[in-house]
Amino acid sequence: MNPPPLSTAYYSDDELYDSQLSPRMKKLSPIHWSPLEVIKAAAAFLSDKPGSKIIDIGSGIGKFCIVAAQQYPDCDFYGIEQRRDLHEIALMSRKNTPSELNLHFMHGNFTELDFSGYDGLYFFNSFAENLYNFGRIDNSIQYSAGLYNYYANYFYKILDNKTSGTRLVTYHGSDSELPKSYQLIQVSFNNYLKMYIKE
Amino acid sequence: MSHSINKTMTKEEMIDSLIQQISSMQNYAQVESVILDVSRIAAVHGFPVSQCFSKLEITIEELSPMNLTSTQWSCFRYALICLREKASLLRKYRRH
Repeated sequence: MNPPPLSTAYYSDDELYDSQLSPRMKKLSPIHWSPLEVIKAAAAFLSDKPGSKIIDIGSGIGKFCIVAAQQYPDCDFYGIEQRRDLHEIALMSRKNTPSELNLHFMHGNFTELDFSGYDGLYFFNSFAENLYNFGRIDNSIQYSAGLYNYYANYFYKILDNKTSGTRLVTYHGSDSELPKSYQLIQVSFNNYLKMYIKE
Repeated sequence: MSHSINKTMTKEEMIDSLIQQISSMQNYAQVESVILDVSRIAAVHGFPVSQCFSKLEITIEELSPMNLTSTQWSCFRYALICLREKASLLRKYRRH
């Protein structure tokens, strides 16, 4: 039997959200899952028109997509996550949310995905785990500076290939790794949250 | 390590062959041996070494990560480092 849907109240406060997580996920939360206020600001920018398809690269346990999908039921939110255990938690959380129809989780590496159909991208620098050896999620994948370089260059190409009007939000990202065609529109949360539109 | 290169090949074919070789490499030591061999191969075919370095560097820089695996990408980035180091040595040697 599935547990009853989580109250939307769980998605209104970070501490409350963390309280329903396992001890391990709770420990990872401050470093790896976006704060709710950040998610709300990012989702508001990305969901500028009904029917928008928005993808979170490195969606983890699905916090961004779940919160955003509830706030903007007329948009579709997609998450791609390479760690199976995190992906499964996201799927389970999806079942327990009031709105699951506009919420889609995929298991895999972002390099396997066709990005052409997405209008907006959310990127909480999920490649950075290759550069630092603290706060890592687990040891289930390889880490290396070379892999960071590969992912950063790959992501650059994805962004470069997107059509004009594509919206991008980065949290703890770097301007220098984005194509120049992305115009910075808004900066907030101590310059960590940046919103761009492709010219 | 010495690689077999067709004796009648053009410079472009030589570069293509080197790109193919690097794309099948599994580690940096293998890449280094290929780059070290570029001078010899160029000499065999009568191509100016500096031009071969330069052409190979440009060709690698134009590769897209979207068409490569992470290992291939990493090997090509390392090849660029080796090439630039060799090209720098070549320039220094010519000045003296």
